[in-house]
Amino acid sequence: MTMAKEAEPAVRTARNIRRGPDLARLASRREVLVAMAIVVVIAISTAVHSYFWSSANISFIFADSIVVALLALGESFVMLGRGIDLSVGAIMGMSAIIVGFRIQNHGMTLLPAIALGAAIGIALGLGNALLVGVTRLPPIIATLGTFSVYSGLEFVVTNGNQVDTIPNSITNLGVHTVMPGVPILLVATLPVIIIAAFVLRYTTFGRAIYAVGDDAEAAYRAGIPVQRILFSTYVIAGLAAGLAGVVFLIHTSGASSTTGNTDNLSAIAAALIGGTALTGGRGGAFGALAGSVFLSATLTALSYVHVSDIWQPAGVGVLVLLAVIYDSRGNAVRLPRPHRRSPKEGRPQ
Amino acid sequence: MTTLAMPRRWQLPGWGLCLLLALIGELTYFTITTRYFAANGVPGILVLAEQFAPTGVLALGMAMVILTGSIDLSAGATASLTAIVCGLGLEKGYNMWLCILAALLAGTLVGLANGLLVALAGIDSLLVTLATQFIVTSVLTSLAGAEPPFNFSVTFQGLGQGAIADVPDDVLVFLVLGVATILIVNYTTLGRSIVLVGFSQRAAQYTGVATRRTLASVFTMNGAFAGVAGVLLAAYYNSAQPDTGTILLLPAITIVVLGGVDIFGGRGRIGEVIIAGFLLGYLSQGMLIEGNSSLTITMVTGLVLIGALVLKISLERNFRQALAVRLQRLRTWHPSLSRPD
Amino acid sequence: MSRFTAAALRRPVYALPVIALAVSLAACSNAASSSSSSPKTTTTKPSGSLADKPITVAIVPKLLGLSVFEANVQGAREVAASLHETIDYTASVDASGPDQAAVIMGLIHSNHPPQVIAYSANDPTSEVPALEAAAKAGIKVIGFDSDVTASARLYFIQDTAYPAMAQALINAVVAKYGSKGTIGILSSTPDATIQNAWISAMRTYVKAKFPHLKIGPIGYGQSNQATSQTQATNLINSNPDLLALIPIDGAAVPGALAAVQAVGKAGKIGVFGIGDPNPNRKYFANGSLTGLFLWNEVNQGKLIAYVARDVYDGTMPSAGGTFTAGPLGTFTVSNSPAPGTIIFSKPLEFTKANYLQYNF
Repeated sequence: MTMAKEAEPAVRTARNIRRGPDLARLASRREVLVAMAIVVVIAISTAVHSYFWSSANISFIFADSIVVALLALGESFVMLGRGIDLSVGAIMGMSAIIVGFRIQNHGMTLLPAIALGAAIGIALGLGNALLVGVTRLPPIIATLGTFSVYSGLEFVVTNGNQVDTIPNSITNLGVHTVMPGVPILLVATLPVIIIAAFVLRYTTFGRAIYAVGDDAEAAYRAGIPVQRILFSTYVIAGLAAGLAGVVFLIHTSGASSTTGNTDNLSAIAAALIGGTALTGGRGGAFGALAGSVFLSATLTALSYVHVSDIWQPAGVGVLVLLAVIYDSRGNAVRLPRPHRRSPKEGRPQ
Repeated sequence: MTTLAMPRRWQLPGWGLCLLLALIGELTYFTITTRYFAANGVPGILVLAEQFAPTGVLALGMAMVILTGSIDLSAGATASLTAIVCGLGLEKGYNMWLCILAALLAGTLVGLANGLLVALAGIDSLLVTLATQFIVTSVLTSLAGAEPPFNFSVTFQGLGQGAIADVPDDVLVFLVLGVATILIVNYTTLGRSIVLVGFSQRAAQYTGVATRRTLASVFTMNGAFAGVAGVLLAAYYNSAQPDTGTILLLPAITIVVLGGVDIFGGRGRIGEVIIAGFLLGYLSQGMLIEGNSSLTITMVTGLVLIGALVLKISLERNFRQALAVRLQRLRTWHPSLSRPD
Repeated sequence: MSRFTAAALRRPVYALPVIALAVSLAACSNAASSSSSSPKTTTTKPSGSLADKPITVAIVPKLLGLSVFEANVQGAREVAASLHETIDYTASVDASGPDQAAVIMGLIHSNHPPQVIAYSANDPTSEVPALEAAAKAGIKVIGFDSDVTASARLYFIQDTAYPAMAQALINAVVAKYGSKGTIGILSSTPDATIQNAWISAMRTYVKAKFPHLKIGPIGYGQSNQATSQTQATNLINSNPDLLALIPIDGAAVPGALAAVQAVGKAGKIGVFGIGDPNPNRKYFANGSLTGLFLWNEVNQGKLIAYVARDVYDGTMPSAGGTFTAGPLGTFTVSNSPAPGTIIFSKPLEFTKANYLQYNF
């Protein structure tokens, strides 16, 4: 289904113009900001603790952030369309478990494993997509429900076993580096993020997601198949989570029935820090990567200055607050917008 | 593609009835299939409600938050925090009521902080409470330390385990707070503001409603409710663990949504939330007694939530259409009748 | 499921569901009246040979789906038939005390309540009210692995003596890396009872025997392998003088090993831990793991079954006494560290030679 060309103007609603520069530039500015913040964090930490700037540590920070980066990437698509997906962690868990057992017990190799992970992700993402795009449940509720179901399925699938023997040939991807500080895993993930960024920025489909997220009513009037766009964002989130499951296996070389249960919020936090707004229509793919690398770097830095692990969640919380306060500071519209509803709907007919 | 343009203000009149029928059906079913469930008559069934009354209290506060179109992800962690504050005080030997007061105060303060951030800084509540949830978690883990407080005085335990006229104390607290919430939402200016803000924040502002104050009050109240839930949890379990309240967040949101409160705000009845609280609570209690694993219960709860919402949405759609048809007939029969709006 | 059939509904109510309100239930069948009155014997039938009476033992570990607990259950099931026991295995999905309490309440109220509940508690306190309710309902309560307040149960099967485990670990470190330097510890959560007991036992032992050894930073991996790996990496990187890492949680061991390998310090920083062999097979095979300790989970499950039988029959000795658990040998009931404690075994070391013998 090709999108009508009229989709483009819908993006430039009055509100966006008032806000100033082009959406893409805004997003990239946030990514640059976060990248600068990463550099600052690394610089300070290295000053305190010289080992921080070692190829092993930098490589670990990258490798450690890839799982959340992929989850946040999928989450970004959903959030750009003004939705939310609370089930990506469970989808990642399902993918990690099923793929892990295939690798462990049937000697599956990497490429089929990636394909299988993607397929599982798409299948479970379809569940969300059907609920949100077809039966039109509010996304937070639909994905809250599927989170319960999918994380329950994790227990059914594992049936008391766990994935614990992933061969080195696969886990080495997370350990070996192409150059000091850059793990193979990062290089292998970059194309996915670049493709996602390209789709978001330069295809009609990508622009339609922004349009829908910014103002669904206007997008609908402009001829964009709103429900179909929403549908596909949840499938994409599933796909990304499925891939994240394979990366999880590479990075941690194991998976159990509780894998992924706590990663939903990290993914959302990373996407937010990376500049993707929960209110839709703003953000991008590189933000997801930048946000999760920043999270990973900051948490690592915290432990280098011997802040107890107990305070790590607080660190994440403060970062999220700073990011959103920064966002709202730059937001010229002071009047709070009606919450996720097109203005039309408020009126009785 | 038409729903977008359709009015979404309809409130299904029968949803509360649906929930009530489901509750009665569920109670009947468990009475027949399990030996224990109704063995002690109504008091026995009420005792079972002890297990989920704190979740219900949490859901009441959450219902008000969701009515304004916001959400509070920190409520569960706040309940844990207050349980621990209360427990620490009791362990140090302070007066019981003083400890309870301190706990409620702690909850209220977290709520106030959320409220101020949402109302004054104008940040989306999901973001604010996502962040405060992380921060509160750190604070409470640090407070709890290596040995979280436990083994409180018998009087305090009585709050969570005692009963007045066969109604367990915490169920009583849930019901009393439930009635209070109904009164607040339906019969006070604040209540009207809550619904109006949820209906349309902009419209509320234009009509002179102090939207910021409303939002701040709702979050503060929710913090206080979480405080009550935390105290009840500490009394019921005779201990305060870091995860005591945190695990209740998703069940509480599920109750509110199942209770027919629109996640986008402006629509919903507290009475139905209370019924939904009992419905979900007895569902999991009954299933546990039947010997189902908590795995099955988690999945069934998720499916019930999805199923109920799909049902509700389609019922509303049909109801709207039927109403439209009938209005149309009415109009043709008596042309002088104007459009209802 | 047969319990939903009409036949099941006609079955007489045979045990008393006592929770505070039981008095009102006088009208039920005669079997109902005795279970709460005499704590020593639970059966109503005049006991000819109690040991032949089939009983149900519910094993309620911390959560579902952990292979160590599955091994417990497997062991218990292996000897169950000979003890006339049926093993019922249930637990919560989350490793949470309140959830576990709900599961226990469900067991108490179920149509066929077990005669014995064996728990491994998520935290020492949240389950207490539920376990006390079980005792009131005439169910015998025993613990294994992780205990609650002693008053809420009859006996507790402790995995190993805490000092013995601490000494085994520290001795393993010293034997390979000497007695000078810092040891990092990777635990699960700050309030994990057993882990804290191990840590303090290690501190005591180190203080007494190796003045130049220091128990340094403690990381918390939240019983999550990925988190453990992150915390272990951070411990290693932020403490360059680290001699060895001691992960003392099942998920922390593979996390620590992966971390050491990833930062390229395999062999330079020792990993000695408490955990099950299965997640670490790879590291046994390539020789990078020595000094992993636990206990035989399958045999521990068998002991649970034996103790359950004896507790039900009322043949368990009080503190100071000994009892025999079939081929497992003789065990002593002691009042230390808590009343009614049965120490299950010495630490069992897994090595490259024996790890394949264990499937947990």
